[in-house]
This record gives sequence, structure tokens and C-alpha cells, in this order.
Amino acid sequence: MTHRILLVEDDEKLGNQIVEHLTGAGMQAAWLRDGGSAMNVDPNGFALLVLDLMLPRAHGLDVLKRWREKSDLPVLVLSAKSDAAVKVRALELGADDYLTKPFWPEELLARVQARLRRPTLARRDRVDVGPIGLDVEARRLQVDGRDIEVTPVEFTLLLSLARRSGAAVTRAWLVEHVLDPDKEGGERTLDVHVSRLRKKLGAHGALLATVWGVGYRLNEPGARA
Amino acid sequence: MRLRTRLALTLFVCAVPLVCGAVWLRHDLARRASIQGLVDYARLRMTTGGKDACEANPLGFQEPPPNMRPMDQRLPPRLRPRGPIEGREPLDPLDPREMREMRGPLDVREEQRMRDMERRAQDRGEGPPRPTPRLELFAYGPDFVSANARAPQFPADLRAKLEAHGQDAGRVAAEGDLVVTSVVARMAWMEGPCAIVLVRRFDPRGSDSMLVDAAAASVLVALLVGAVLFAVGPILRRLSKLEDGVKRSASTGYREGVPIEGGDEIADLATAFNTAGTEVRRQIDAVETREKTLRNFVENTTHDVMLPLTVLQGHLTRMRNDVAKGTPIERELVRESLEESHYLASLVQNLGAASKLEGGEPIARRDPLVLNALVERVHLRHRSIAAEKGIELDFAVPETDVRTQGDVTLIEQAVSNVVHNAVRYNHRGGHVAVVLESTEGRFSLRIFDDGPGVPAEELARIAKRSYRSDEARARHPDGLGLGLSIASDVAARHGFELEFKPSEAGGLEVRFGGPTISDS
Repeated sequence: MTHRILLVEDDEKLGNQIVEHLTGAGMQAAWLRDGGSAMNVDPNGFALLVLDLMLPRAHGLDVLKRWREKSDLPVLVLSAKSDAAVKVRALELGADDYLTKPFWPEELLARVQARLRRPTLARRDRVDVGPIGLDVEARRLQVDGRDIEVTPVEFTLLLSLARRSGAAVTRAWLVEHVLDPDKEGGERTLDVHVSRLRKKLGAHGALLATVWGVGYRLNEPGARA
Repeated sequence: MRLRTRLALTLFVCAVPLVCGAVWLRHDLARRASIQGLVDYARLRMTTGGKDACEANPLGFQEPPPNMRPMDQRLPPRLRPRGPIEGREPLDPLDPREMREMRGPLDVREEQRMRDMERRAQDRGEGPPRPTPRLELFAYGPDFVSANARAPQFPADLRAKLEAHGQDAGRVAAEGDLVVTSVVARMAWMEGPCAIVLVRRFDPRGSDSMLVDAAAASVLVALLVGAVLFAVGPILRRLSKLEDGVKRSASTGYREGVPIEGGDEIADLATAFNTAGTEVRRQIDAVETREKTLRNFVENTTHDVMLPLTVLQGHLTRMRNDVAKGTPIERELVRESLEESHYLASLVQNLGAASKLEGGEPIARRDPLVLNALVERVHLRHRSIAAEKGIELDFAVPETDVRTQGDVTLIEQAVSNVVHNAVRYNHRGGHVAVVLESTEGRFSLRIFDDGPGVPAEELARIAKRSYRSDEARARHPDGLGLGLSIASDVAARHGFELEFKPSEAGGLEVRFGGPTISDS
């Protein structure tokens, strides 16, 4: 599904760049160059709104206020002002996120994508990350649809990482929450469990990444490491 | 209103009623004394032969007897009326024999002496004798009616007073050109044709009047006011001198104090002014120093901004030349350019943060903020450059939000500065990790790396330096000090801990710690 993004930015070059990056990431971008026309546009019909604050004819915060009267769509505010007061004001008026100039195109894209990501229906009984499927009720692991035999500790470990797939989880947290405090000890034990689990995941073992200095992370296939 | 005018006016306003009151009081006392004197005289006169004379001859009794000289010379001096009596009909003469009987030998001698005095005065050419005021005495029965046909009708008001209460009464009233003091007194015997006595004294108007007293008092007041005005002269001169001193001091920017003379209130004022002047001077100095520091800071920062910009321009020029020649652009050149621009952005952000911290005031904003999101934003910010440099930058945050309070921009800048340093001074293939944890109402945010870094003590020392000082901004290397000083200052202003220590991986570990707030 192609997301339609509305961009309000008065600078020609920056606007062009942003449109280019959004399009490059597979989104559709509509671009308005001043606050006046942004005031009158109907925000509904877009998936997300990217709004610069310093605009000709109408201030971005006023545009934001007007939009909020009509719509609950996510709004990402861009500003050259690195001022907590403006930031907080924008958030109070209903902005969802705030990006200070200068920013890397990747930063903008990551923020936009984070806002577009629909909250996954939190199913407590089953977690899927790419080829890996975890049946919580039956405590059963499937990889590419095939059942894989794992120990209870290995299952809990993988489930903990899968529930927060894409995010690194610290060793300390895993030791505390995954290992049986009566039987097993420290981080060495954890590392042993992880290396065994990787072997069992076979070709997809690389998805279970070691994060330097932190712990482990279950990567979503296709996402950058 | 000037001080002198105000003083004179105040004195005048206070003195006039006071003097008027005193004059009136004096006058009133004199009047009472005069009345009492006449009463005494009436009683004395009646008890020393007057009663007998009166009762012997009620029809003709009066004092002085007709055609006799007035008896007022016998009065004590203060009761002695002054001034002439004019236009009064002489009273009928009495039989000289009776008269002698009435008056006694003393009166005759006195009379003789008076005549002699007048004659001598006329001989000396002093003109006619001063006509003396008239004193008259009449006797009345208990019914306020006199047997003497020449006696005036008993004054109704005095009669009322006698009937109401008391043994005597008196009043002073003006009649034509005369001031008449009328006194009535009951005699001890209460009966007979001489039970009540009326004494009247006629004074010319204008003698001993209130006006004379008032005039004297006015002169006194004028003298007093004049004396006070004269006395305030030196004070005013000193005040004026102090004013000049203050003006001179102000014109020198309060460097010069005012001279202090004596030990009175004016000296105290001068001392107070000097104290205030010193304080003003101190503040001016502080502002000037701060302005100078800020100017230096801006100049130095401009220098710092220009340096990476120049490097960037150089890189871009080389890339343009490579493109023109058709040779491939060096990847390293692109990486360095990206890093320079990243550094520039961070530098400008720090400049903004420094200007906010410059005043030294406490952090103005205490907004609740989520540290998880802050860490994610910082990670996102530096991830591109880290990847470009072949450095793995990772982070971990707890699943639940960790919240604290503060200025979100400043805290983000502080964390960003530490992460930026860790990435900037790491080598290709190195690692940087940012880990947020929270336990028992406190958060811990660690940034650690496996780079060569800067020795921890050295970093702590750099961080302690003021970002305003030149030393902090001496390239150590590449303006490292500025970012760390800001991080240190932001942490201190928020009451956060900031620790530097060698990381387990051999690089550096920087830890922020502080209180969390509950999710609400």
C-alpha cells in the first residue's frame, strides 16, 4: 500500500530533497510551499503530514492547530529552532514528533516510517518474526513452518526477543527474566543458550544478532542491521 | 516644593495657630484677672467703710462721689485703667463733708499728691494731664434695684448669673469707644440697700488689645522662621554639594565615590550612596565581563565553524574536479564531507545550548520527557555517520518508558554530544553502545565504546571546564571540550550525575544518572 504524505515546506531545495527521499522510499508526496494554502487544505486523505514551522503567510503552529480541528492524522514537525519551548508547544498542539534541522534524510524517513507503522494486533498467543513463529500457548517453535525442538529456556529467550523484534535487549535483562534463578547463573550461560538457539534456527540463525556491548536482538528480515 | 520653602511654610502653619492661641489665652487670663480684681476691690471697698457710708446714705451713695477724681489710683497697678474717658457727663457733686467722711484722710492726701503731680507736669510743659479712665461703684438692694437714682439699671445678664449661681460675676464688653468691665458682687450681709455692688471700669478701646499682642507674636514668628531658614542654610549647602558629588560619580560610571563629611545623616546618605555605587559598579563590571566573554565565544565559535566549512568546501571542490576529469569520486572524501557537515550541525546546536546556559540561571523548563524516545532520536541522528565510518552504533532501552523531567533539547544535546564524541574518535570497525536502564526510581544512561578514546580523567577534567573559556574550546581535538562541557553543565543544572570511566571494552564509558518520574 502506498502512503500519501503531505509536505509543507517553503524552501525549494529542501522540499525537493524530502519529496525525493519519500518517493524513493515508495511513498507518494504532495508538497505545499506556504502556510496559507496549508491552512486551507483538508488533511484527511493523507497518511501523514510533515510540517515546517517557519512558513510564509501562516505560522506552522497555526496550521497545526487548524489541522487538529479536522483530523487526528500523525503530524511530524520540522524546525530549525532547537528550542524546548517551541518543541513542547508543538507537542501540546498535537504534533506527534519533532525533527530539528539539519537532519539526515535517513532520520526523516525513519521517523516517518515509525509513525506509519500500524500497531500490530498484540496477540498474546502467537508471535511471528519473518520465518520464525512462536506458539505461546503450546510453547512450540516453528521455522519456515517446520517444528523445531527447543528447551523451555531457549523458547522463553526467543519469545522475549521476538516480542521486541528489531530492538536490542540487554544481557542483564535477559539473565534476570529468562534464566531460572535457582539453577542457572550469569551471562556466560545466556551466551551458551543463544549459540545453541542459533544452530537450531539453521539458515535463519543470523537473525539472532549479537549487539555489541548490549546483548541480543532478533532482526526482522529485510530491516537494516 | 524646595526644602527651604516647605520648612518655612510648615513652621508658619504650625506657629500661627499656636501664637493665636497663646495670645487669646493671655487675653482671657488678663480679662479674668481684671474681673477678679474689681470684685476684690468692691468687697474691700464696702467692708472698709463703704457699707456704712452706703447704708447711711443709700440715695446718694456711689464711688467715686460725684465731682471727685477717680479712685482708680488706689487700684493695684495691673488693674489701673489707662487712656482717656471722653464725652461723659460729670456727676452731681456731693456734700464735701459727707465726702470727707466717706473717703478718709488717705484719700485726701492722695488727691493732693495727684494734683501736685499734674501741676508739676504742666510746669514742665508736658501738656495736659492724661485723662484717666473712670471707675464707678454703685450699690443695689437684694432686688437688684438701687436707691440711688443715678445708678444704672442692673445689667440683666449679670443679674441672671448671680441668680443662677455664685457670689459674683463679671463681663467685658465694648461700648462705643470704650471697653467696659462690669462686675457685680453680693456682699456678705445679704440685706439692706447695699447687698449687691456693681463696679464698672471704662477703658479706652485699643489699649491693651489683642492686636498688640498679635503684632508682637507675628514679629516673634517671623523671627523664628527667619532663624530656622538661616539655620538650614548650611544643611542645604551640604545637600547641594552631595548632589554635585553624585552627578560627578554617575558621570564616571560610579568609579568615583562621593566625599563623606561629618558623621550626621547627610554623611550616612553619602555612605549609602557610595555603597550603592559600588554595587552598581560591580554589576556593570560583571555585565561587561560577560559581554566580553560572549563576544570572544562568538568569535572563537565563528572560527570553529569556519574551519570545517573550509574543509567541506575543499572536499566539494575536489569532488567537482574529479567529476570534471571523469575520475571516480573517492569514497573517503564523501565520508569526510558528511562528517564535517554533521560536526557543523552539532557545533551550531551546541552554540545555541551554550547561549541558553550562558546566563547561569537554573534550567527554565522542567517538562516531563521520555528517555527511550530521546535515546532513539540520538541513535538515529548519529547512525548514518557511524555507518559511513564503519562503526557499529547500537542502543537498548527498556520495554516500558523511562521518564524524567527537564529541558528536552538540552538533555538531548548533552547525550548527543557524548555519542558524537564516541563515534568521532572511534576507529573503523569499532563499536559504540547506548544503554538506558532504570531501577528503583532512577535511570542510568550509559554510552560506551571500544575506541582509543581520551583517558577518562582527562575527559572529566575537560568537562569541568567552562565552555566559555578559551581553553575549553581549544581543539582537543576538534572542539571536543565544547560538547563535553555542555553535557557536564546540562547534567549539573538538572541535578543529574555524570561519570567518566574506562569502559570494559577498553574505550570510554560515560554515564548519566538521575531520578525518574512516574508515568502520568
